[in-house]
This record gives sequence, structure tokens and C-alpha cells, in this order.
Amino acid sequence: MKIKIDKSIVLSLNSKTGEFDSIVFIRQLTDSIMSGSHIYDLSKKIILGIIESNKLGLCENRILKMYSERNTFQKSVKDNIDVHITFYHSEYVDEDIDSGFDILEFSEKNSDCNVLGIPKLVLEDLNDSKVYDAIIDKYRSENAVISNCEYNYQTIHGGGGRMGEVCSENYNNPVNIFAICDSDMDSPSCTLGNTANSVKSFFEMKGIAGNMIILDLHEVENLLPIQFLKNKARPEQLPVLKFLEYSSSIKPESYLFFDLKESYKYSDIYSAERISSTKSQYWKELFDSYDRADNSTWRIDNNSPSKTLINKLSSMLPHAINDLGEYSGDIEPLRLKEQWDFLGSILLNWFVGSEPMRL
Amino acid sequence: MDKIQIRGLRSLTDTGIVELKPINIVVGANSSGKSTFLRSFPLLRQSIEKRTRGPILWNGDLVDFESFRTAVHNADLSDKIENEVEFKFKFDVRIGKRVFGGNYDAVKLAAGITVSQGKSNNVCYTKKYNLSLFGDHEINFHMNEDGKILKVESNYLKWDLAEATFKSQTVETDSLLPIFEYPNRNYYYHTDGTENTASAKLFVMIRDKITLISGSSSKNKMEWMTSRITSGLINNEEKLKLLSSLNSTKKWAKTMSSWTIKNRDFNMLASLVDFFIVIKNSAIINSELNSELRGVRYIAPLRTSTERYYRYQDLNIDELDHHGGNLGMFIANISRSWRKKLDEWTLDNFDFIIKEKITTGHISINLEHSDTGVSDNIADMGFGFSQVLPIIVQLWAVSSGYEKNYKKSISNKILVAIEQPELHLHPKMQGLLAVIFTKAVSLAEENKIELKLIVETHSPSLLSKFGDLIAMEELDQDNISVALFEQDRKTRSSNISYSSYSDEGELLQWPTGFFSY
Repeated sequence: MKIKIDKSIVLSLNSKTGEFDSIVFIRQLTDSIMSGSHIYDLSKKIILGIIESNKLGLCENRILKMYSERNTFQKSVKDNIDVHITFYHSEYVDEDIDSGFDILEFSEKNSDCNVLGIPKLVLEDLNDSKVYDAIIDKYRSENAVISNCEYNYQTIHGGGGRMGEVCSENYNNPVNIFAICDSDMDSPSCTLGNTANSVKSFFEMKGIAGNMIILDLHEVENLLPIQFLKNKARPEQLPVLKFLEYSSSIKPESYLFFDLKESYKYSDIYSAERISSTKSQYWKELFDSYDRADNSTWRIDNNSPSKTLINKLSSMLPHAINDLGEYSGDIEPLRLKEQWDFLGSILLNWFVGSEPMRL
Repeated sequence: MDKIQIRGLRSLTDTGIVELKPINIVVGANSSGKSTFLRSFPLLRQSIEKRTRGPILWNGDLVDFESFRTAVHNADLSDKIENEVEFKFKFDVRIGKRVFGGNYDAVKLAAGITVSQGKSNNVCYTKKYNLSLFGDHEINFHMNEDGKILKVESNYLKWDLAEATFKSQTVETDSLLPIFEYPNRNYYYHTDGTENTASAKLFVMIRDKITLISGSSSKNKMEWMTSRITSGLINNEEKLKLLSSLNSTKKWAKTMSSWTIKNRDFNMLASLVDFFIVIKNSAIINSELNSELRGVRYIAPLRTSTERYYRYQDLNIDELDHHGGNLGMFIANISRSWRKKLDEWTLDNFDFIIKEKITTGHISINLEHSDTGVSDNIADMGFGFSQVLPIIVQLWAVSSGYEKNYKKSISNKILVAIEQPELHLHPKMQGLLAVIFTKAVSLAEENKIELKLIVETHSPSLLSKFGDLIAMEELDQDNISVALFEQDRKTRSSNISYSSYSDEGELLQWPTGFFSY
């Protein structure tokens, strides 16, 4: 996240009544700069104003001076980061602040925690971070301006159904908690799953819905590129991937909503009681046409209700996630690439950091 | 000089038009072409200071490009040298005569030469001389190795000359810009056309054209009108205004009232006039450029290490050499009143004053620190001081007016090209250099000296400090440019991109990771 500092901080620093709040805040700010937790949009005027106030110690001043030099060369990067929060002193501010955080609130309620520390990302499973790291790396490699950007986040295990509660337990200020949650939707028109609903409610209640993403796809495994899965798959695991290539050519988004872990049973799609469900209506059309198009692969009428229509990839997916960082091929199908670009941009905006500093 | 463009020099296949601001920072990886760019200024200066066989002295006192063969782009990639090197400059030229009461302002003129390989390996010659007047009238003179004009062409006219159209169609080959003729001192130029010069031929062509338009039979009147229109370099709007103001026949008045600057006949006449003026004033144009290039000062990347003692010679040193080797003598030559100013400059910026001690036959340079009053021989101080001292002294000498006062003949336009000023300096001191450069430009401005600095650097501290100065409104962001050089290793061609500072002192369009490793 881009941390902006309003000039009211400098004004308060030069006053007799507000200086303490600003000094406490700037000490945390310089600690944060040292560790490179965020990217900091501090104008040279503000940095020089803080230094010239003579209210801070040698160490803080040295850190700010060093950051001022680094700041000279960072404008292009900072301009590419939209997500920001502006820290200000409410008694000295003279203009409306968009997405602001009053340092008075900071010193009163949050002095025991580091608001400017490394941001926390709550995920359903810790291992999911490997997918998101790969997405950020790909996004950086394709965008020259941010190609050298550092990023930082601390992963918190959400534990599936408990994810909403975990977010609540880890919340202590609006700046440093983020979450990404599976939607568990089987088609674009399906309703969100329970976990997604609980996470969404929590973030909306706190007024920080922008800190959360409900994936616009079934679950994190759907973010794995098809070619990568084909490279990993054993021959008997390939039919489902072949089907998904076909389904993506008919409904481009279908790759994102297929349940790769469990696949679909005959009864999920064709049983009389489920045939009118949104899921069934979405997938039946694809299975039917695929059946007609490629009769040699499998046949619906030979399946019993409890059997899967096509193979599942549950045994392979955890290994695939572990190895995703090594994949350098194309991100396909097209709709998946769009998701990668979208997530890459959001994640980098949330977690952009700076190189740690050595005095 | 406001702008320069270089083509075909080492990796500089085409720099594009480089606008020169008061402070010009040049950055880039090693061997990216930035030194070639910076050294082209001392190259040009050494070329105008000595009589040479061709326009450029490739290997001289200041810089060594060896020869045309080694200086030309991709020289070692091709056995057959067909390439050319082109220098193009935009600078002020004042051409005109006061006899008619005309008051001609200096005009910005772009002049360029294309240098090519001569028959002998070590010789080059000016193949093409290009002039751009008022941004819309391009004139090209094509010459052979003997300096003979073969062809003159412009947007409107083309003049093919056989090898011996007239006797003196050979230009001077050793000047930087070709000199066709030296201007005569007569206020009122006239000719009966019998002179064997390009200008005489052109004068007659213009007179005949004017006679045809006016229909007048008065030869004197026609000559006077021709002299009037060829008396100074003015743009086409002014030319038309001047022509319309000349009293002649009714036919003349009618034609003039019907002409606009787009009229074909007018443009042909105007082109002839421009041909005449640039040929007649070619020596002045060359001299104006020379005058600017004589103001080039160069500080080489490796300055001489200061010595404990310099031999004292009874010489009048009027300029610091590019390695700072004559620093001792240069300082010893500074008069008492100017020394006071130099002391103020060093005290203000570095908290020391330079003291020289002259003993029998020797000078030693000491730095006296303002806080302690203690002075140290510079040979006993850090190497950084010996490297930065020539820069400090050189900048003071040009911006304070000391050099100008000493050498009355030099122009008030000074360009100082400095390679790696940060050499051996602590980052804090590197940052301080930005303050010195900024102050030097301001001091020069106070002294009505147009100072331009070209600084090649690898120092992030220096760039950052310039940003601080802009943020604190001590430097105008428009007075500084940052050129980034990158070389394509396959084609060995340099690409230049530009960055600039925001009003908050941050670099815009800065490539991320430029200083990363």
C-alpha cells in the first residue's frame, strides 16, 4: 500500500500542542521505512520539513534523508500504485483527505500495534500464497515500471469455514488486514458460498470492503493455467483438461468455475431434482455438446448417478500449487489471464513495499 | 548554443535534437555513449583552436578520438568506411548592416556539417553544410574533398555548379563551418557581376529578378533595392514587409500588394536572398559558433592528483587545464580582489579557503578550515579534495566573471563539461556538488554570463540533491534536464531518453531500477 503523509503532520510537529502525536507516529513511520513494509509517498518538502523541525532523533532523520534520495527515483512506481492511505493530524489539516487515517486515533488506540507494519493477508489455506506470489511475479514481469517493486505480506491461515472469524480476530485497524476468499460458485450465476458470505459481511461491516477479494471463480485452484496443469497431469488425468479446453471455446469463463478438485457427478447435472439448478443448466449444455462433439472420450449414458462425469484432479492440485512458481509459460485460457492481471494489480497495490534500508 | 544534434559519432547514431539547459545531467551505464556525447564539446573546441586539414581535430589537447576512421559509428564493424559524422548546432547569429538604419536582432540559426572520409585514411572533409533559417528554410551546400561547392539546394531552389562555374567556388576547409567568402567592409554592396564569386553571381540574379518585377530601367535604383533586401538576415514576413516598403514603379507596388509569404515567386526571390546572405556572411556564422565553442571548458574524469609543491613559473595562466594540472599556478595568478571573492565562494560552500604558499621556485596549496583555522597541504588531505578542487575553482572562475575579466575576448556564453564530478567523494559531498552547480548558474546569471553545465555522473546522491533544491524552490525545475543513455550492444547504438523533475523534486519518466544492481 502507498502510505502518504499529509503536510498537517509537519505543521503539528512545529506546534507546541501537537508535536508529541506526530513524533510518536513518525518514529513508527521510520521503523516501517527501515523494514520496507510499504511504499511511502513522502514529498521532499515534507521530509525536509520534518528534518528541519529538529524534533526527531539522529536515527529518524537519517532514515528520512535516505528515503528522500530513494524517493527521487520512485515517482513512476508510485504513480502506478492507486491504493493508498493518507496519515494526517486532524487538528492541523486544511483540506479534505481521501482515504485518510488520523494520527490522533493512531496514537490513542493503536500505539500498542504497528499500523505501518507488514500487512496481513488472510487466506483459506496458507499454501494458497504460492499462487498469489506467482501472480504478483508475473504481473511485475509484464509491467516494466513496477518490475523491481518489492512486496510484503504476512499470510494468516483462514481455515476454510472459520475465515470470517479469523479476519475478525486479526483486525485491529483498517490499514493492515486483507483477505482473499474462494467464491465456491459453480457458474457465474451461482450464489456465493458460506465462507465467502461471512468474510464479505465482516469487511463490509468494518467499512473496508476494498481490503477483500471474493474470487470471481470457483476456488484458488482455478487460477492454475491449463497448460501448466497439462504439463503436470498424468495421461489418465488429461480428459478433464481436454474438456475444459472445449468448454472454454464455448463459454470462455467456464474454466474458472469448474470444480477441479471434485469434478461433477452424474447426479449433480442430470438428476431430475437438480436438473433445473443454475449449476446444472450451465454445465449440462457443455457436457451435452461435448458428448456429441467427442464421442470417443466418454459417454454420459454409461455413467451411474454416483460416478463423476469426468475425472477429478484432487490428487494433483496441491503438488501443482507448490510448483507453480517454476512455471513460465502462457497464462491461458484468456479469461484466466484477465483474472491474473486483475489480481496482480490489486495484490501489488495492497502489498507493494520498499527495499529494506540499512543505516 | 541552445541545441545540438550529433549523428554517427561512435555509438551516437543519432542523438536527436538535444536541448541544452543551464544544468544538463547525463547518466547511463558504462560505455553507453554518454562520454562520447559530453566529449564532443571539447572535441569541437579543440577543432576550432588549431589549423587543421579538415573541420575536426579528432586527436588534440583535450580529447582523443584518434581519427575519423575510429570516431565514426561502427568503424570496427565494417572494412569499408561509408559512414558519416554529422554535427548540428542551434545558436545565435547577428547578421546585418546598420547603413540602412536597420536594427537586426540576433536570430537563432541551426547549422550543421556532415563530415566524411577523405581519400586518405586520416583525413576527413565537410561533405555537406546545412543551414536552417527561421526553422522553415533549409539550405544545403554540397562540397567535394577539395572544398569545391558542387551544389546548393533549398526548399525552393536548386543550384548545380559544375566544377568550375566560377573561380572562387572553393571554401576554406579548415574551419569548422565552411567559409565561402570573407565579408567586405563596404556598407553598400554592389557588383557588376564580373567578380568570380558565388555571392556576386547571386547578387546579379536577385537584381535581375527585382528589375523584372519592377520593370524599372534605373540600374542604380535596382542595385540599391537589391542591397537593401540583402543587407541582413530576416525572416520571410519581414522580407516581404521590407520589399513592399521599397518605392519603385507602379508595377512593383501592384506585385508587392498581391504577394503573400506563400507566393511561389516571392519564395524563390527570398531563397536567393538567403543564399546570398549566408554565403556572404559564412565567415561571421563560423565566427559566432567559434566564439561559443571557445567558451567550452572541460574537466576530465581523472583529475591530476594534487602535488605537495608545484614549480613556480612566471607565466600568466588564464585558464585551468582540463586535468587541473596547473591549479597551483592558476590560483597564484588570481589577484587579491578576486581572491577575496574566491575565498567567499569556498567558505560559503565548503567551509574552507584555499591558501597558496610561495617559497623559492615552488607553490604549495593549503586548505584552511574555517572552524579551526588549521590549514593542511592538500597533498595530505583525502584524494577527493584533489579531485573536486579543479571543479570548484573552474566553476567559480567562469561564473564569477573572473575569466571574462581576464580574457576580454571570450564570449559571455560558457559551457562547462564535467565528467564524473563525484569522483572519490563521500555521498554527502556528492550532494553538495548539486548545490555548487546551482549556485554557479545563479552567480553566472548575476554576472550576465550564460553558463551551461553538462555533467556526466553515476551519483544518485547528486540527482537526489538536485531534487531537494527544486522542492525547496532553490532551483527551477525547467533549468535542469536529465538525459539517460542506453546502448544496444548488438548494433552498438546509443539511445537517449529524458527524465525531468517534478516541482516536488522527483524524477519523472525515470526507468525503475536504473541504479539497481
